[in-house]
Amino acid sequence: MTFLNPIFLFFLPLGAIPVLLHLLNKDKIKKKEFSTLRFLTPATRKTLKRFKFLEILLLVVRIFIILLITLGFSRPVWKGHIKDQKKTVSRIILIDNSYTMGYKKGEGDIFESTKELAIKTVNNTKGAVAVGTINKGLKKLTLFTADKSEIIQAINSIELSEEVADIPVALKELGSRLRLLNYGGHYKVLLFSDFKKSNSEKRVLFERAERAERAENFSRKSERSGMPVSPPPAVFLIDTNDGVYNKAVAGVDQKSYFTGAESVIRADIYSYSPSYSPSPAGVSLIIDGVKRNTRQITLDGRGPVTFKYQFNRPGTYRGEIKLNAPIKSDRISLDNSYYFNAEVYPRLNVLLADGEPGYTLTGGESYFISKVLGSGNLQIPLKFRVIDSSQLSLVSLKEYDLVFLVNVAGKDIDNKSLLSYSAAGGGVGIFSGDNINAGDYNRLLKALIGIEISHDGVVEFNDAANIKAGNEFKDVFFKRDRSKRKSVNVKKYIKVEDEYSGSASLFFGDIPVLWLSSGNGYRGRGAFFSLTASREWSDFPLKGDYPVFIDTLIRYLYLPGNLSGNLSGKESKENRGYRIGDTLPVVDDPGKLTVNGDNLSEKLLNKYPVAVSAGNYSFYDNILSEKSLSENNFSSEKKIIPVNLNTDSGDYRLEEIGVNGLKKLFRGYNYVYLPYSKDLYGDIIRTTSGRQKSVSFFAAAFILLLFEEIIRKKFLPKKQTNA
Amino acid sequence: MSINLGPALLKKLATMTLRARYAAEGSIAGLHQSPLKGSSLEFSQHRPYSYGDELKHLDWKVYGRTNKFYVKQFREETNIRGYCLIDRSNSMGYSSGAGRSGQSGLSDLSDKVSKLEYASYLSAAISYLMIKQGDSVGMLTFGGDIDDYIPPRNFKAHLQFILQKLDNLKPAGKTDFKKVFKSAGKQIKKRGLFIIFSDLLEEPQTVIKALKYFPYMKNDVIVFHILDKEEIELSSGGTIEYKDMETGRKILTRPDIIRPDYRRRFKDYLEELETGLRAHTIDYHLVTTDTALDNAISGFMAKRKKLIS
Repeated sequence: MTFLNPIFLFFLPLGAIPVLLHLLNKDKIKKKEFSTLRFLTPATRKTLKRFKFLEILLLVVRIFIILLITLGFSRPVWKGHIKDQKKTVSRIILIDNSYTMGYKKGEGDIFESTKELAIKTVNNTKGAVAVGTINKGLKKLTLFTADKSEIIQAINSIELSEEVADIPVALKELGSRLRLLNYGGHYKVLLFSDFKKSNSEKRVLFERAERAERAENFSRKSERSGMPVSPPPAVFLIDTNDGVYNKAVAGVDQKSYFTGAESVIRADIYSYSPSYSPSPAGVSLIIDGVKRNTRQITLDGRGPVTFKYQFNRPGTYRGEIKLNAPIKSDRISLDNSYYFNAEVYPRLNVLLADGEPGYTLTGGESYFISKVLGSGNLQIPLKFRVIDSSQLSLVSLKEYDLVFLVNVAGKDIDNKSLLSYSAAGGGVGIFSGDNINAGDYNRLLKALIGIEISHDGVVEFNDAANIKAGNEFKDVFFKRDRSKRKSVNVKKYIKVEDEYSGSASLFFGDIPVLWLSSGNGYRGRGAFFSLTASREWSDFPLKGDYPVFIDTLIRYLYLPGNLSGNLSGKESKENRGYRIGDTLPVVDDPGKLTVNGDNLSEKLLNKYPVAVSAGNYSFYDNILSEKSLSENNFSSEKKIIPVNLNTDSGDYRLEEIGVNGLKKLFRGYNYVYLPYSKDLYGDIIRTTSGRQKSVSFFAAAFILLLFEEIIRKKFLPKKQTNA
Repeated sequence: MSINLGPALLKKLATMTLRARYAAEGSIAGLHQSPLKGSSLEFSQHRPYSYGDELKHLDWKVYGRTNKFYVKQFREETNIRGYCLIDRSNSMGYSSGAGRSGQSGLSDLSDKVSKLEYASYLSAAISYLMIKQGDSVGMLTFGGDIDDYIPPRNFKAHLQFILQKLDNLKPAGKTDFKKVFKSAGKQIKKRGLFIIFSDLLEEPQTVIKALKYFPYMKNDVIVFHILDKEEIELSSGGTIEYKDMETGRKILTRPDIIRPDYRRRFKDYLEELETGLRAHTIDYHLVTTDTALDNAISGFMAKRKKLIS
């Protein structure tokens, strides 16, 4: 037995008070002179003995009363429940996996501790066990089995649900389920719960913790891969206390920006209003404490709010998205702001070495690339310089972050300067175009990659001999030999068979990072994906700003079909109608693109979620769906987040159900067992079983008090009364 | 103990008068009605003239109306002889400690005032009252027999003498009312006011029998039955061996067990005593030692006034 309020045990010595009083008033025979004995009658020895006995009985009763009351206040709890469990046959372990069970405090993890305790209980149990989860109701209930490993596995597989616990409903369902299945016999239902309803503040705390943890995971992944990955949006749920509005700032889409380009900062706002006329609200972008921009919204659902801002200097800026919602009684006003650090990098310098400079001025590839990706597009943080490829050796490549070879035939390439530049960490891109010499390129690739290139081997423009007029490739192979370089894990061979008019490869150091094929239609993009998807980013020893560049390039250069169509001076197969000089639209959500009806993001991004990062909300949807979170939370539809934000009904108390109520519920042959764990279930014990024990102690004390009263009034004469 | 009635009690007593219930045969003019008719301001009755009557007492107005001679008679007022009979037997020395200090008129008494001490104070106060109103006061103390007798006088120095006697009063002897009052009757011939201070712890009939002689002889008798509260209530606890203060007999008992029976028997005794005494026109007053002296006297005076009127 342990005590929840052991401080009251210090009062136990109070039990000695009756003893002291008894000793002080011990019935010694007093001698007194009296005026007359005429009216006095003597008492017999027998009577005196009888009264002495009654007085001792009274003393014992009084001691017990004091001890019982003291113990009652100390809240005793029986600890030997696990031993007791060996006696019974069947047990149902119910684990509350509602949202509040995920609450973490310090290093403590209630949910994990609960599962450990449940497993411990299973190990100490003889006979059949079934495991169920409860949140909104009884969700799962395994069949009874004596196979402990199966049960433990079931316990381990339980994950947190976002739903709110409703224990009475869950237990009722359990009762009806058992009756329905006609399970007879005796059960012990072991209910593992924090007995807490999810209230908004706890939920916010929990969500913060969860988001922070997820962000941390992401940053770890990002660190490992070198990819700057923005953490997923932090969701702040704000209880407005009036039950009318819920609102939230979900976060911003990216944290990395470049100078010289117009950065787009997109915040995602959640709000809900049952009203027909949702309230207006303002959303402000604050950079380093200065309000830069404000947007008006209405609190009527989820939607992005886009701010455009141009960072002039590289560095770290303190960003804040502030939601100014004029809602009364907004208790958590601080959560109206979402803070983020905006890492601003210098705009990258890119050198385009054009093999066909004659076209450059009128619409060649270099022209097009510079037009699309250059300063004309404020969203692209790249600065281009176009030169004749024959002048490559004359330019100091160190000044550039990336050198692109555009329509360079191959033989003109100054391998020496390019290789030294690449070896120093410079990035090399190849936009092969239609005027290439496959042999030269293979040699260049071999030099850049540093591995053998052959038909059997690794990277090869294998169809160089069959290049037709117009220098179009028919087949492009990219494969690597596992045996030769173990660290490279080539998962697929990609063969692009359809025609295309150009391709680009991107190398960093000696590592091919991506292969960009500017084919007509979507096949080229297939090649792009196949290459990036075939590699883990962690394989690349990327340093400096290049990961940032890759991240940006992936996000902004995602337009191969458009590019090829315009490069050839004709409309693409898709007939999109872009012409040279047009500013092409930037597709920033790859999830919306499909190939042959397949959603690329689902196929590839789910598998390699790191490859494409910030800004992709459908990607987060997938992450969240993996976590069994409701998709509705992140959909653009106007739905209520399934959290009871409008109630603050506090904790469940067992009295609401009542131990007796539970027994009734199960018709008297089941028991609700509240396992004791001081750290985990202290609160529950305090309000439930601890109290139950205290009540029984108080009840016993009360009975003894009645007994003492009876002895005093019925059997003992009054000590002193007025005449 | 030095008896000092205290200014507060004396002030109270200054406003009080103790009147005799029956006509008294005093030697000087006083407050009390005399059986003799004499010269006074207060008209009493008319009487037919007879030889020898002084002519100055003839009521000529009556003669004018009736043509018969009537003489006016006036009520004579005289003083009274008061006798304080104080029981100083051993039982009067009992004190349970229930007395109350700090009360008006008992300021110098300790908590443990005995019945004898209380009786002394009470008799001192009444003696003072009587001498103040011109009556004579004497004192008789008794235990098993009469111990001391001070004849009544009415001058202030006599009061001082009484107080000295009261001061030196110590409990002694075993009460024998029959013997005491028989002797007292022989010793005190003249009619007067007999004020008895005693716990009367005898058989009621014995007490009544011993006292009924005095009213029979046209004496006015007042009995102050002085008891300790503990004697009435028996509120002690525990096991007690009681020793009789007069006989020395012992008894072992538990008051809390016998209390109801004790109270019943004591109540019966008091009722019998009071009824019997009142039947013989004896003025009975029960006083407990925890009653403040001024309250006791005020209560007594109020009852007395009612009785006489």
